[in-house]
Amino acid sequence: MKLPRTKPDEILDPSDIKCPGYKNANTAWWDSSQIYGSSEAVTQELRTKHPDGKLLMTERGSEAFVPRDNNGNPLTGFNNNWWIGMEMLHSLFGMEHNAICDKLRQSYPGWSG
Amino acid sequence: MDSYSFRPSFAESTFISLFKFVNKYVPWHKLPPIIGAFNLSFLRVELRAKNLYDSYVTGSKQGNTTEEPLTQQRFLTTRNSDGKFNSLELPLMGCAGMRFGRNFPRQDTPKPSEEELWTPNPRLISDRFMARKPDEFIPATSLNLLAAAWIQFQVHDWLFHEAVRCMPRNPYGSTSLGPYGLKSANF
Repeated sequence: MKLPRTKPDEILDPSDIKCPGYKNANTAWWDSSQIYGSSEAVTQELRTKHPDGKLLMTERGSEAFVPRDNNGNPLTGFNNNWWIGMEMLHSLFGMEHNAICDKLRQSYPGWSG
Repeated sequence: MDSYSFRPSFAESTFISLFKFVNKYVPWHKLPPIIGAFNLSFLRVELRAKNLYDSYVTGSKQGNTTEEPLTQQRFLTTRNSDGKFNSLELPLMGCAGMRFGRNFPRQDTPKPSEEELWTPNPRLISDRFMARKPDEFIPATSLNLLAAAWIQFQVHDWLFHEAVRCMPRNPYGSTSLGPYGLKSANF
């Protein structure tokens, strides 16, 4: 088993040699970036072309699943270290997002997506 | 310019002191909900001032309104996926690709030496504390798997560092097997 070591950021100041900074690939904000992605491009890919602004989910009858790419990896904002616990929470939040979209559409039929 | 550091306003400092006094007798969650919410928000201000440190030497790295002007009006009210403009004054704060902040001043967080990094060896920790001993199961009575999933889910929202992969050192010597007969490469 290999252990990943955190990569120090490039040296921007002499003090970074002794006390480096470490870049964050995600947004540090608790902004649900694990669901919506940490770039506008990823967010656009995860949103369906549906005008109601829903998240892409694989729907089978009343069931909905986190969609998969060609290799079977989950398509979501952040899919590292995936297991049943992640599957459960990402499904739950994806379905909740879409349920809120439906409610908003119902209450405000004039809104754009 | 020094690292960015947040200073509470006079009014904020006043409320922080006021709630500190109140909290000696009543904790925030026992206060009426609205007042409790204000209490929480001032706890946040104090934590931000005393427990969050910028990991850049200069505060200019967090951006400003002239160099990073608002690109679209919609970001005043909607989420920008890379985190930009969440703070309108410091538009780059917390963005994807920015250095992760710290809870200690940067001069107190030197990079560990090779020796420090491997002391204690992660495999030793695994063998001593994490391995299930024969005939002995230690149940977790205060935590279940849902908590583990939720914490991982929240951390995935929060951070992911760039990484370089490396082989752990074998604490039992380069060729010898550990107490459970596992070679380092199989660990």
